[in-house]
Amino acid sequence: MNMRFRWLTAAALSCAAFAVSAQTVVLYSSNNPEVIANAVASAKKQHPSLTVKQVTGGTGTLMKRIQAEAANAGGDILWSGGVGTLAAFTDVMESYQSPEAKAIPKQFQEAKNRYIGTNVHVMVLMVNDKQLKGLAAPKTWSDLMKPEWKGKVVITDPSKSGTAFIQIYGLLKQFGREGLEKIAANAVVVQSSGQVYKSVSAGEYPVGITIEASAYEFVAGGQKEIKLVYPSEGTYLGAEGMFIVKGAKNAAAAKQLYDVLLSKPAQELLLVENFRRPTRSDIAVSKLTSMPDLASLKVFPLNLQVATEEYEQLISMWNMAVAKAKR
Amino acid sequence: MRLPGWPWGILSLFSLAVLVLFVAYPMSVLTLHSLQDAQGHLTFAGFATVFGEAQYLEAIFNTLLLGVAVTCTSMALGVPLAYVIARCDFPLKNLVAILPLVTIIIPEVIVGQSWLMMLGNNGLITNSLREVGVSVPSFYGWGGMIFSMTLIYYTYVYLGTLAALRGFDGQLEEASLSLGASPLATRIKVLLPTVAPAILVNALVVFTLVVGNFALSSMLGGQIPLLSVMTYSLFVSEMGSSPVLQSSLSVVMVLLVGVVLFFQKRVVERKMVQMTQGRAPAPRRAESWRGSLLALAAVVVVTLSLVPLIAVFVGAFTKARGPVMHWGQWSTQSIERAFALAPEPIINSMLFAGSATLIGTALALLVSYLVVKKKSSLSGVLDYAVVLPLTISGTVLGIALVQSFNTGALVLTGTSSIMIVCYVVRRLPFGVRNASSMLYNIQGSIEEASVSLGVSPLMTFFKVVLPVIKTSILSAAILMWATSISELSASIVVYSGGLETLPISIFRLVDTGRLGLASAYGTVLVTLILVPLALAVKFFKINLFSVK
Repeated sequence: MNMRFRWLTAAALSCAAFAVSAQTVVLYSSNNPEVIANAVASAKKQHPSLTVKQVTGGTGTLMKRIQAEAANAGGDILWSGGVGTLAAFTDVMESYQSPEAKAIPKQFQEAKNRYIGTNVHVMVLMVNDKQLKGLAAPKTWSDLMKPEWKGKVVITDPSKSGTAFIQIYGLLKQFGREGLEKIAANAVVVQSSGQVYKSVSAGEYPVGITIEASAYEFVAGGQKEIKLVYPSEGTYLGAEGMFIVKGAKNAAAAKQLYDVLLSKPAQELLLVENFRRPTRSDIAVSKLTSMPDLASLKVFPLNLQVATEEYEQLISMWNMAVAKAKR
Repeated sequence: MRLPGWPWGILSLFSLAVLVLFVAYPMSVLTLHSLQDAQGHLTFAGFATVFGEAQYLEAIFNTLLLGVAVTCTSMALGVPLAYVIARCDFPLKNLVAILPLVTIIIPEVIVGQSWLMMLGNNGLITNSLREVGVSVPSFYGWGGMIFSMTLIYYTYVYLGTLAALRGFDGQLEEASLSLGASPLATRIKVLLPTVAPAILVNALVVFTLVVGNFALSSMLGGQIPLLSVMTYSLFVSEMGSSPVLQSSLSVVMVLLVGVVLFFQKRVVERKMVQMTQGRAPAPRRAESWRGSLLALAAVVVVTLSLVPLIAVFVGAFTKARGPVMHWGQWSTQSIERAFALAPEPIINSMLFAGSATLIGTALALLVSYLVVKKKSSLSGVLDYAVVLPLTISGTVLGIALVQSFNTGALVLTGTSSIMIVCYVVRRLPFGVRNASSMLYNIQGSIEEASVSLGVSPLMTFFKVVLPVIKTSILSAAILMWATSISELSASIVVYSGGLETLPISIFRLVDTGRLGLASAYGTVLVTLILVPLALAVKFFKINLFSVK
């Protein structure tokens, strides 16, 4: 039993050690481990005494957790969630005006500084050349509505993923219900966004609707048959943001991390290493990567806050379109 | 005079208190939650949903179907293998006989990951076959799950059958043959009935393991709804809201496994045949082509079950750029990244599993000593209480612990202790079983001699009993270490920031398609399991699996 006692003492001591270090910040993050690792490395570089403890999970899960912990906050900062989602949770957020926010365009800022955009997702068509089998690669959304693409386009169930929700919402706004039904008729619907890029990479389907950052990883990783198509009719953008949790126990450290995540070095690192398109206006994307500058892309504008309000409607409309296609 | 009941009565109470706190109490909280709505009123809505909605019924049905399927395939693989090993003799037989045991200690996350790297949609073998124009059916779904689970769980059937075959009295067969029965009829009418209960006992163990399986079910299950995966995702999505549904589904899972284990204990185990004068027939050298074919089949099965171990090492040293594996190009980059970028899971795993090994081995030893040597009404209760965790699958245990220790007098969520509790509770029944079997071998008279010479009971335990079973304890501790460091299903439910372990990291990396880094962590994990084991075998000459 002696060993057990010694272990308990050690555990107690290490807990005490955590308690005295005021420079700890608890990061709730939905990002993948490599993205988080780069963010943490950036933070360490700018603030060597800052220790980032991470809790990872899906954005939805983490938001629910923050709500459940409202009386006794367990996390200090959440990074990141789609701004449409974040807009629905402003009551658990602490306002913070970061000095770094100067470089962020107004469109990515919230009026009361409760959350801010950290990166932008661009919706793309991920194409596996080897699996086209004679078909010409699609150039835009309406190409995918043609009958020859039946069963060849993989997309995520919009109720399972925030980015998939934006894709479907965009298609509805741009092409109406009819366009949505045509897409639904051709689509193979999967339950997680990861399945879309993994299965296009694996050659199960020739085309997938996904986000630029995920698809580009395969291009950068050296899989030659993978191409990214930015729809010429206009693509959709989904900004992701972060916020400081209301009642955060380590508010000062949380602000430090908040500033780091908005800083130029951190956003550049995440762009070059993880293909996260920055929100800062002073980073030239096409110089640092082979991804195009946002200014050179045609964008179909969406109001994501309104989109969130129309969530239930869209999901049921989509489910009906899928059901209709099955008949 | 001494304190009444000291030491054994007090220690029995203590052990019982531990089990009540970490097993009985969480299970009652879970049951309560399954019957309570958000306002605290009695409701059967949870169970009504589970038994009323198609998706849950489908999950229950699929889980049972998978359980039956894997149990059958495991029997189909394990029984003939045991027969070949017991009755035939061929080169390398001793090695082939022992290697299946390795499958039990390879973490399931690694098995799942390795098969995906080989046979997944973007797998090495899948792609090579595609290059030459052969299209392979998707590995996700029934095929992948049955394949990979069978190659792990057949070991349980194999071990049980082998033991029964070795204990079988060959004279019975000779008698049957000399009375004119054909060899085949002899096997069916004489051999089979005596070995069947042993096969069935282990087959049922396989069934319960499949029902509770989380790692392989969620990695390879694809679009097939299964209970353990569904319970987990319900837990994740229900966090913070009323936990009725996750609790109801958990209770259903416990009942499912409980019924099977009860049947096993009450019905099947009683039919086990004990041969007093067992003289197993000597293995015959396989000389005919049939014999060689059987031996070859045995070698193939065993090799196949070891593929994951090889694949994970190859994957760790293969060049990976983001999600893309460049097979054939070598690099130490993934390994370096595992150590440099995120050493936390490695440290956590060692810390938690190390603590669980110390606490779990000590507790298992205490409980089994009380049950075997200090029989009392209390230790009788203990004997039953300690097998309770067997009915609780990892996912369910995790949910019960979170529900019980999230708020209130004892808050454990968010601390390392909840991870250690998970590990200890899950492994305790096995630890106690191992410790009991070694304690049965020590005669009570030795202790009595010591006590009558004036040594206190507690000192007698430390000075007389402990030295005798020292090496057995070491081997039990190593098994505890190996199995708890691989634990995923309960710990992935209870873990929170800063508590991520190797299996959890691997699971998440596979989910995001990072097979290179996942392999690197996998290699570290396998090394952490195999090195202590090899050292113990070499320096302490322990026979690791003799106590199983």
